[in-house]
Amino acid sequence: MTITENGARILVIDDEPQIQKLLKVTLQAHHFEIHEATTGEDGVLQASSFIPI
Amino acid sequence: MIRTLRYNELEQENRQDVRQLVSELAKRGKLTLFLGAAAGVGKTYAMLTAAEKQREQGIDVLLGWMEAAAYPDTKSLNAKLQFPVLSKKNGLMDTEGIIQKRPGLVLVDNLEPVNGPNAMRPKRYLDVETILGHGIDVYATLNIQHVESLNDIVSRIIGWNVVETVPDTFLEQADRIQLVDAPTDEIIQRFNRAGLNESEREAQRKFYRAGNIDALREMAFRYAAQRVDSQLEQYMQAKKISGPWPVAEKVMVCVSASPFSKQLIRMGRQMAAGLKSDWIAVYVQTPQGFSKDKEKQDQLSRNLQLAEELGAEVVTISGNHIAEELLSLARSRNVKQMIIGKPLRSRIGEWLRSSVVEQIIRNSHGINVHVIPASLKSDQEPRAPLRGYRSFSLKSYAWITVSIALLTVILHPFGLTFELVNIALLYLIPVLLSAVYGGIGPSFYAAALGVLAFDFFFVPPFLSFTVADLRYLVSFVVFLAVAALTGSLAARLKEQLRFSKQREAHTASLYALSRQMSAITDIHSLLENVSRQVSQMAGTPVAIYLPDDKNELRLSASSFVHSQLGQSDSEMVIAKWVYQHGEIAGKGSNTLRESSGLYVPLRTEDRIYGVLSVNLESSHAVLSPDTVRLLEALCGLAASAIARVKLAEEAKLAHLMAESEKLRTALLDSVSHELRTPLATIIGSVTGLIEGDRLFSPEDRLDLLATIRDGALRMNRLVTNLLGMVKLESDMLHLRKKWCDVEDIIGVVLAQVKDFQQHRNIRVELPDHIPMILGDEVLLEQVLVNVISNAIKFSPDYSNIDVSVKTEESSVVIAVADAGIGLAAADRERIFDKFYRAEATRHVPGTGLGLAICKGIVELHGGLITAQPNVDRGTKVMISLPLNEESKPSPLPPEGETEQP
Repeated sequence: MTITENGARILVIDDEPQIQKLLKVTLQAHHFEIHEATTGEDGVLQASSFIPI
Repeated sequence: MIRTLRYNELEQENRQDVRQLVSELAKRGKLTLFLGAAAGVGKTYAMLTAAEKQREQGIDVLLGWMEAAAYPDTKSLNAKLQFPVLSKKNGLMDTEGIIQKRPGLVLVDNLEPVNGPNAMRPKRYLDVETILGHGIDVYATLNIQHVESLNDIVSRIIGWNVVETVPDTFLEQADRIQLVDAPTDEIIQRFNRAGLNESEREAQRKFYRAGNIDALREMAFRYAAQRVDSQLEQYMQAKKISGPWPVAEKVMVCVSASPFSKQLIRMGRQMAAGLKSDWIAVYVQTPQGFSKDKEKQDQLSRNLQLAEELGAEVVTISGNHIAEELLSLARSRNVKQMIIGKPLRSRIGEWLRSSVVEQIIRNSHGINVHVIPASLKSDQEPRAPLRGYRSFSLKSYAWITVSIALLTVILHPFGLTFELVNIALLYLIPVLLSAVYGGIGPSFYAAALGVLAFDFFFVPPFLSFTVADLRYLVSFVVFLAVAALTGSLAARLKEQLRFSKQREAHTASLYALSRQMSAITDIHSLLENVSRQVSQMAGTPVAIYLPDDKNELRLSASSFVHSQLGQSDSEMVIAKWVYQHGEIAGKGSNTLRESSGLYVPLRTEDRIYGVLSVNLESSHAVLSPDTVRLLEALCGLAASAIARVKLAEEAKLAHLMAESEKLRTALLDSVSHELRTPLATIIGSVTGLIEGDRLFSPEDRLDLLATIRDGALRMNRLVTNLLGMVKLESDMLHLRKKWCDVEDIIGVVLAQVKDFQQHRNIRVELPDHIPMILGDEVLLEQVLVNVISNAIKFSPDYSNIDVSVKTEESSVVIAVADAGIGLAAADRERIFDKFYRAEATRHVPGTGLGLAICKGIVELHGGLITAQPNVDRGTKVMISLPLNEESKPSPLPPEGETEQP
């Protein structure tokens, strides 16, 4: 886990709220920008608008 | 004697499947036969020498049987070689012991002896057969005089009957025949030198004459040559060398119930061997020939058995015209040689039979008929008494006498007013009646008596037997002729009827059994049916043995419930033997003739399913070959029926296995997902907390801890459900009933679901007074948690979930309504099935266990759980729990825990 300050964006797609919560908290603590999607459809949509790096 | 032989040289390849031949050879032990002309040619010596060579090659040799050697050289050789020997059992060869020891090679001196009546197998060659069947090689010695098919010739040469014989079919299985020979004078010299006592020597001196020995030697040579010939043929077949194969023409022997037929059978065997063809022994059963005469029946079955032992296919056909039946069978089976006996003396009773020979010769187009005159010798054998149509019945004769006397008394006063012709005709009435009811004898008696009465009372001069007018004599003769004709016709008709009735009964019992069996699917009623049918058919008690789970044979059905039949140890031993070997045994068979029953294996092509035993203790008779064959047919039917039932059971089991396999896969899939997701969150959160402790703010930390708790709670719910399911399945779930308050239960449940209800709005609606219910608090909470968490799972955020309680007349109904995705009508019942998940909820994680457990628990409480559509949208689950009578006044809660399965 490398800590980057330059604000890499991560899109988390998972239907399990607990996993999402875990990832969100942990990744945000590592200073990533987090976006969430709970379905595949939503994930594709968000990926096109928000472009994760 | 008409004798024309014709050899067709048609080519026929691959008479036997070579592969089958090879595989059969591979299983059996090899039999080497040391064949000699007479005792003293050195067979045993040769056998011992050959066995010693085998021992030098490292083969384990066991001396199975050794005659007390009379010849000094054999004696000394045997003493020198010292083969291990097995002690005799009851003065017989210990076949079972030999098989148990499993040597590589067993030596058996003299193949022909007849074992005692109580032996397992009546003849020693059958012992050897068993040993060979276990894959053990055998060396055996045999003198030519003991070969069954040569029996007639041998007894003619040596002047007495040889009783101990070995059938040719067995000898043909010998893999090697080694002919041991010595010059005639040397054999005689050896005999003179042999260590015999005087009486033995005297008894055998007649046998050891140069002429005898020469003849026997020649027979041995011929026999061996024949064998070499057939081995060559086999070799050519095996190597697919095409050669001038003999045609597939068959030899047919016509067998009757006379002892003379034995000679014909042996002759047929020899001819078939010479032509290298198959042969058939035929018996035509005619209504006239059908008799109840015990001795004759026995002779017939002995004849047919001999034919079978000599390798014939035994055919019994029934018909009216012997010649026609024989010829049509001969044509259909491609018989080219037919052997038929001609009685030496023509008797009135047999003129019909001699005409059979003539008819056959007349119509034999293309079939060579060998007519063999009966030899004087066989005539010396006790002839079966002339067949009697029926037993002499005094009763019918008395009836006739009485009725004729009565007729005479009635007619006498009118005698002079009646015409004499009318009186004569009236006297015919008892004749006809007795012909119909009594048979030929009574009808003759009635005719004679009638004539006498007529003559005495009505023909002038009256009251005397003298006849004034000689024309009356003609009337008497006509009267007698009419009586004879009608009597014999009626009698024959009756016999025919009886005969066809018996045949019909056989067919009917087979048909009935097969029809019943195809309908039965339960093995016990099947067995009962079989035993009842068979015991009806055979007229004796019947028992059926089937193997149990451990493949141990058990008595499974018997036709008489209270009888001790089939219980004794000896019966069990025989049944086991039959089960293991798949061969028929017991009274009237080759094995264990002296036992009290007949044991027939229930076998299909590939398996033996059990044993059927017929108790013959009460009847001294051996079952007729016909009945045995019917019995075998019935057993075949029974076996296939058992096979069918067993296969059906196996199929059912396989289906069940597949179902449970499916279930297990579903369980594993869902459970593993349900377990691993919370585990993954717990592990992830804990790892994050440990590794990046500095990074997290206190809120983050709290968030992660909450995640861990949620995961653990989720796992806890799953494990509780799984355990509950297991308990329910194994009937181990017991209710700890207490008086509980529904309001309390709802409160506890709401606290539990609060952690994962997210933003659903749970609304509770309670009436003022809710009666206490008797139930297991913890389990009821589990039910409600499961139902409410389902409602949460399948409904959107910020929607309402309504929990309401209603008191009905005899029950309390808790309803949980959500505004979720709802249920298809078909799923409303099935969602309570184990592992069932509605199609629309596949994307939501879950095990499909929750509602099944709810159903189980609620039903244990005597309640009902149902699902129905909610008013607007979503699902409403109703849990109805019964109210106990005493619950209304809500008395003091009993503290004792009552358990209820």
